[in-house]
Amino acid sequence: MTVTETRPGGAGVLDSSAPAAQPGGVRGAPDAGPRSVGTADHKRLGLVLLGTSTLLLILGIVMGELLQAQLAAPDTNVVGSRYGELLSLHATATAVLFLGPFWLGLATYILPLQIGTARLALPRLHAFATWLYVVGGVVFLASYLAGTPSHGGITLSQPWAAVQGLSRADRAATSLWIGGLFLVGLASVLASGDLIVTMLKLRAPGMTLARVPLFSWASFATSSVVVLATPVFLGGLTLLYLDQRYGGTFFSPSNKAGVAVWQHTIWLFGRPEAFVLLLPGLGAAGDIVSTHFRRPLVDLTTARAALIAFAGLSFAVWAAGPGRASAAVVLPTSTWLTALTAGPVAVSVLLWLASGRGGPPRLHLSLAFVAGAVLLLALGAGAAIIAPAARVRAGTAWSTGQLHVVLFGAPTLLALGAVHHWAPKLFGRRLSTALGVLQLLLVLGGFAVVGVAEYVLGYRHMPWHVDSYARHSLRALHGLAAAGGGMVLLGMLLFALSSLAAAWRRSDAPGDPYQGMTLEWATTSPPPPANFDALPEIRSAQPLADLRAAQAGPAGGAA
Amino acid sequence: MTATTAATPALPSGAPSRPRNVATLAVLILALGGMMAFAALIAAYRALAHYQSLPPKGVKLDNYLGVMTTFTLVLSAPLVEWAWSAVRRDERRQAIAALGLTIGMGIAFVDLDWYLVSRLGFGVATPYGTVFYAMVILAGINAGVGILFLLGALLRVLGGQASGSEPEPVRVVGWYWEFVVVAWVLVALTLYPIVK
Repeated sequence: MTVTETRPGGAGVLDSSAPAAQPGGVRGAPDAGPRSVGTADHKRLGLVLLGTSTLLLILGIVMGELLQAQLAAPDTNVVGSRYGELLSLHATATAVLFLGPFWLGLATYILPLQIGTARLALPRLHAFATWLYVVGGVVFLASYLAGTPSHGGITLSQPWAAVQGLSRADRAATSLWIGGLFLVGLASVLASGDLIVTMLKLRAPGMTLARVPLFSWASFATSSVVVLATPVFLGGLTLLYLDQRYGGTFFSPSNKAGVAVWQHTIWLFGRPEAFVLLLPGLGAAGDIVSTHFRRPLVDLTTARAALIAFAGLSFAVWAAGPGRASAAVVLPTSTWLTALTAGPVAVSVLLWLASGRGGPPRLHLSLAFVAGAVLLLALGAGAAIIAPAARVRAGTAWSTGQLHVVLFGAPTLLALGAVHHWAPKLFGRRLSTALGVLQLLLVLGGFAVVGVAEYVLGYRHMPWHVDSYARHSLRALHGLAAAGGGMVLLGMLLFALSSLAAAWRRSDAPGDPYQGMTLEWATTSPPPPANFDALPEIRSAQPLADLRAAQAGPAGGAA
Repeated sequence: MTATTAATPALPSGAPSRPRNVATLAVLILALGGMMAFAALIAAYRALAHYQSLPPKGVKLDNYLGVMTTFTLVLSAPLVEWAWSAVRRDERRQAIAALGLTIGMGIAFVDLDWYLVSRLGFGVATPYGTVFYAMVILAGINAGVGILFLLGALLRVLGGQASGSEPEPVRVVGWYWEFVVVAWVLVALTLYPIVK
């Protein structure tokens, strides 16, 4: 395979003979497609990650819909005996194979543009990681074709069950399952490591860490968590593979240490992973708010500190202990440490609101997605506060509702908003506003309906992760949840089609459609292979605003 | 924003600045991630030791073999530093010799690691066996990756791509090899009752 990349001289990529960068301008259509196979260009790699993860998400939601249909009409036996298997596939595809890699793909595309560099620090390694993720995802899915791999339960909560008494086909399927997860995890570590190096070493001259935009900061913090947490999970998978393939007994129930170790390895991967799914979204929302309100956030230092604190707290939750931490994901108020993670989120939201004072924003759909995410977070916070008073128990459908609303719904809305915001850079044209409004209504409404239905089910003591129940009075609520899931699926299909249409058609977006302030708007849409012909001088966190002020002259600058 | 911002349209002319130590930072991050994986396995071993006496009754570890394996790898650490020092001083022949010796010691370590595994006398069927094999095999794979890096550095020195003016390739590989050594020492100290 031939690997092509642009090496125009490292960071900064300054060519004094090149014309000065002017915000705005149009360049050709985005060059994505089969040629991406041999590329090391961060833009194409980013699109590969975004496209693959979106496909996997749609698959995951379809699985979720089948599960909900089974619960809504238990007599029809929609999924037969494969309920647990599909539940595992649904959970893994939506969280591990979609949200994490989706943010990774967006960071792969946007971070180099925001810090003013032409390339990633280790482009070949990043290309390797990207395709490793694709292969890992395919291997993971293939495991479900080979047999029944998920005897270990959702997210391998019972590892010993995954290795004992399996048929030949199920044994092979489980090997593929572990291998697929291992490859995806390894790909995440390699790509995240590259993003860290890119952020620390390839910033353009003048782009100090204090001037790096929030989304890049959030991607940096997320990558750091992934590099520290995921290898621990990979270590746990290695032990599990030895158990499964070579007759090991480390995770047998008789080995108390194995139980404790698995809880820790799953936690150390699962808990930070669960929390950091939201982290890049907080950074992206900060940039969206800042761009469309046409002013920097009121306190960038506090905004950055909130992001780092959120990443740090995702680790500190470990102090709650593995047993309680496993409940902490679904009951965010169950420990004071997990409750603390709401602090940085609240600070971020308050900063967005405070930045809105002083004038109306430019109406852009991405702001509505951010507002939708805030609504879902508020719904989740309200439910968490009400739960103790309503005596809701963990392990009921209430927990599933909390997972859907807080840990998946809000980050997904922020991810969609980010794509709408950066669509001119990603696809060379804006996404359809009409379709975007439909996506927002369907996805936001869908998650809200699913959440509320599951909260009520939990309140009525419906256990989670079961495929049948005795009380027929709960059918309507399960039907409501299925309808909500259908809305989310429809919204995501619209999003995928809208993105595909934008990528397919000729680019027409100006380089700086929003009068943006950060460097990604200092180049054409989509950016050329080397990203920038020249860079404006970077003297603050808003280099393009500085440039416009200078071009307007002293009088304009004073305005 | 102040009115005194006198931004120029483009940055001043001059040679583009070359990013420094990119590979060094990348290797440090890679080593950090790798160390977390080893830490997970060592923690698993410690957790097991919390519930039972390790090594279990009936398991007799060859301390001599463990010490010799460790000794072999530890000896390679100064060799790779010698290579780095030689490259910085443009002593090409010394650098080639030092890298060659380091690779030789690395291969000897992998061989000893394999030999050690083949003579263990117990399989993976016990929790102790599972975690023991996981750690030893992971250390061997880690050393194998390190040897590939060393070979790359040797080829660069032979091809004149690593020299006094550009010693980074050898420096970076040297850092990774030090990680290989430290990781094995931690594994050996965990598995073998050398201190006792």
